[in-house]
Amino acid sequence: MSQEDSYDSKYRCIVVSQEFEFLSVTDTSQYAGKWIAVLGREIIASGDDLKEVYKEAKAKAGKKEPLFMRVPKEQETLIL
Amino acid sequence: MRGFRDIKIPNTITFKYVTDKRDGKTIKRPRVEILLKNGDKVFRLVMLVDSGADTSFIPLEVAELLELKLGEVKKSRSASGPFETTNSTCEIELVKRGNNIPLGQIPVVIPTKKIDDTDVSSYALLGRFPFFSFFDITFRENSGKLILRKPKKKFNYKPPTSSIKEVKAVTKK
Repeated sequence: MSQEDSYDSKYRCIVVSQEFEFLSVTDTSQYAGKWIAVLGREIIASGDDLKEVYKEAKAKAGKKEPLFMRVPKEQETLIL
Repeated sequence: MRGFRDIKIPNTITFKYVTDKRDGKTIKRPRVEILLKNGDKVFRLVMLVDSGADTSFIPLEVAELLELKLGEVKKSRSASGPFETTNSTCEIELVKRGNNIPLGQIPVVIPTKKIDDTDVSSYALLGRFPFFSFFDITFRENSGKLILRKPKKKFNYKPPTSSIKEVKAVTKK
């Protein structure tokens, strides 16, 4: 475990899922403005319409639950 | 229904910020993975931890996939301007490898309409109430870390029972 990892202070273990860890280190800029679905260390579906992305991802993932994220648009500054 | 006193919070969990890369530059943002639940419907979503938001926001499409009951359309305001929202409740868990931390039923606000060029309706935000009551939260901007600590003072969070008075069909405009 490195200083850069997400971790639990008590157990000194990495705390995030494989999918979240993958997203933390992956350049997703090609998906800017789109929804992506991640399973394991792979983006298994992407698109503008979440329902379509969900349908495609669930078909590929079977019983597993993919992780979804909407990638911010290019040069988007979040002022919410 | 699970209340705050039933929730087992680890002493400290550190999440590194998630990096967005844009035109060769990097923007680090404090995000966590949340499992949203409504009965047997579940949805794993990456959410931005937003200390500026009063409450939590989820996109309408996510609410529809979870088949959440939606309340009346109201007006909310962001830094970008006013926008229409509806409200609901759903159960959430902070996803942690090995054992998730169930946080119970929380209120969520669901934007129903885009404002200008800012697509607020697609953002997933964890706002202050009640997420910031479950933990003492530190943003370490320089090292790009989000630290969640077990709070020193217990907050007696009472999950909403049924805040949805009226159910209306909401169409994304």
